[in-house]
Amino acid sequence: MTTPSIQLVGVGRRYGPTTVLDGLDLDLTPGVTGLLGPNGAGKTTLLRILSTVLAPSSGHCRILGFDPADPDQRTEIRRRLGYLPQESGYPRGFTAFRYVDYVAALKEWTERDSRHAEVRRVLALVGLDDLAAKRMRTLSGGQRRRAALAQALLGSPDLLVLDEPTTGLDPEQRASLRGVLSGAGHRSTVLLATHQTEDVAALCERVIVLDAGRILYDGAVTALVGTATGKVWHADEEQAAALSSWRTGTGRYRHVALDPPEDVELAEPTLEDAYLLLRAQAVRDRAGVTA
Amino acid sequence: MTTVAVSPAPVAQVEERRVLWCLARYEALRLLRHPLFVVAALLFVLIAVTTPFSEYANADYDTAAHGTETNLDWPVLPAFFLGLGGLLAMNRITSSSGRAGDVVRSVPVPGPRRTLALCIACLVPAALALLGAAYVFVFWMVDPPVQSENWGEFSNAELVALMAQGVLAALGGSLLGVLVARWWRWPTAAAVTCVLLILWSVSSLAPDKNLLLTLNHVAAPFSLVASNGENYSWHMGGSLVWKAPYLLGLCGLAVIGACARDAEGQLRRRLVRAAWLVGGFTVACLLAGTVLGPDGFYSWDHR
Repeated sequence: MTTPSIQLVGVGRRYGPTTVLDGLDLDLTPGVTGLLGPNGAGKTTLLRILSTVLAPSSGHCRILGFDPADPDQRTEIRRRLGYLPQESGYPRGFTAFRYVDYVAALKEWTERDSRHAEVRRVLALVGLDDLAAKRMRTLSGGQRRRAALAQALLGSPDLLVLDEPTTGLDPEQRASLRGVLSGAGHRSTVLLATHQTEDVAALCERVIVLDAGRILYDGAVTALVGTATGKVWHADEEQAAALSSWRTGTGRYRHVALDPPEDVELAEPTLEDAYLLLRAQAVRDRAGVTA
Repeated sequence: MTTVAVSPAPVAQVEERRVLWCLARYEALRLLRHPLFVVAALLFVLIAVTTPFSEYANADYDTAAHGTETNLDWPVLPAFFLGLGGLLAMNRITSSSGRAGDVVRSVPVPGPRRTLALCIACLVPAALALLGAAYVFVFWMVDPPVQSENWGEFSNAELVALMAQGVLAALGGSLLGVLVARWWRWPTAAAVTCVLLILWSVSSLAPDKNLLLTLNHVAAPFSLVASNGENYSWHMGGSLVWKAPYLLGLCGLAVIGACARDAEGQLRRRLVRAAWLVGGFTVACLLAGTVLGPDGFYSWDHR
């Protein structure tokens, strides 16, 4: 059995009176795990806790065998961590190379030649090697995002925590990034928070869905997709019974519903369908409890 | 469980020192490339190099021509250009590093050590000011200063202390830039600090015999030795020799204060202890400088 590289026991986080994470229990093993959830579900807070930027208000964490509450052990975690935050700023006037080089220096790469070689390697991995000399502020949003991703990949970390890494990337860049992340998933624990369900479907074996600070689903991607079987259908017209429906490129409507009508033309569900249904079920359950 | 061996402490300590110097070099290069500092340093070099050859700052200040030669104003150059320039530049550099946000907060080098690296980089303006001071000393060796009615009499120790004040002001200004960026993150904090420093320095030039004014004169991070009017020259009270270690104490407090921002646990306790120690030393130097120095006096007064 694979030993977990991350263990969370009853981890909670409050901001004043607001509970953002509510007693999470979670084990993560090496491989790529997707983290889905609506805005405000607590994804970023969870990632900030795992990247030791934020301390939990309650509960215990063990990350790569170390306790982040202890300053010395926290440093050991950080030596093995790559973190791409949701919003990554950069020091003024830096080129892409200098930005990644600066972070490499902060990650204790003291030897200049080996540091520069590593910086060139990660910039090439994200396809920025030819733009290394350009100033960060002159790069496009997607290129800046890739530079931020490059710093997370420095030193092939044991734990890679990525908050919406594909934001602003074009399809080619996203496909290329999937190659990089799947490669990283062979040797490291990769946690990928995103709103792009197709990225999770393409990359992850396991997906965690957060909602209102709690885990709504934790399991295989295929199993989650399976829960949507029989609940997605195509029709020529928009149907009021559907939870969500939209006109597709073929001119027909795709419908998703918890209780689909009978005798409909069923369609192959996607992770997005399953996610929508899971959320709708959670809302219905909460309404039922309230009633 | 995944088990990862923790590096033995001695090895980690050696590595930490290397990391610190590596980062300090990095920050020093950032300072040397910062446009604000480049402009300030160029102006300093330009004026500092030409000053000894100008009538304004001729070291040979003649008693017969009182009120015209003020070469002991020289330390104001590093204080103004390198101190204030360093303050603004280091403040921008420190704030700019903070813009990297969670990326910087998740690296193994802790906040206090990153701050210490920034503080070490502040030695760059101090080194430049020191070179300037050495240049003036060389000039004085060739053309020794004579005592003037305008400035009063100075011992060699006082002259050295006076020049050291310029160097310490260049260092302290830059350190203050780091301190302000660490604690006050609003955009104009550095500019406001510069204005306050200038106002404080100007307020320390008040010509009167009063212990509080003397205290203010010695306490001001940079202040001139004499204040010249049309018909008088007022020599400030307070000891120049004690003022130099007082300024050094302020520099130490700035480093401790800046590093304390993200410190926790044992390090924080150590920094608090160090702050008490350095604070005590600084206050003692300030009081000694106020009490042990000469009273303020008119070196000449034709009113």
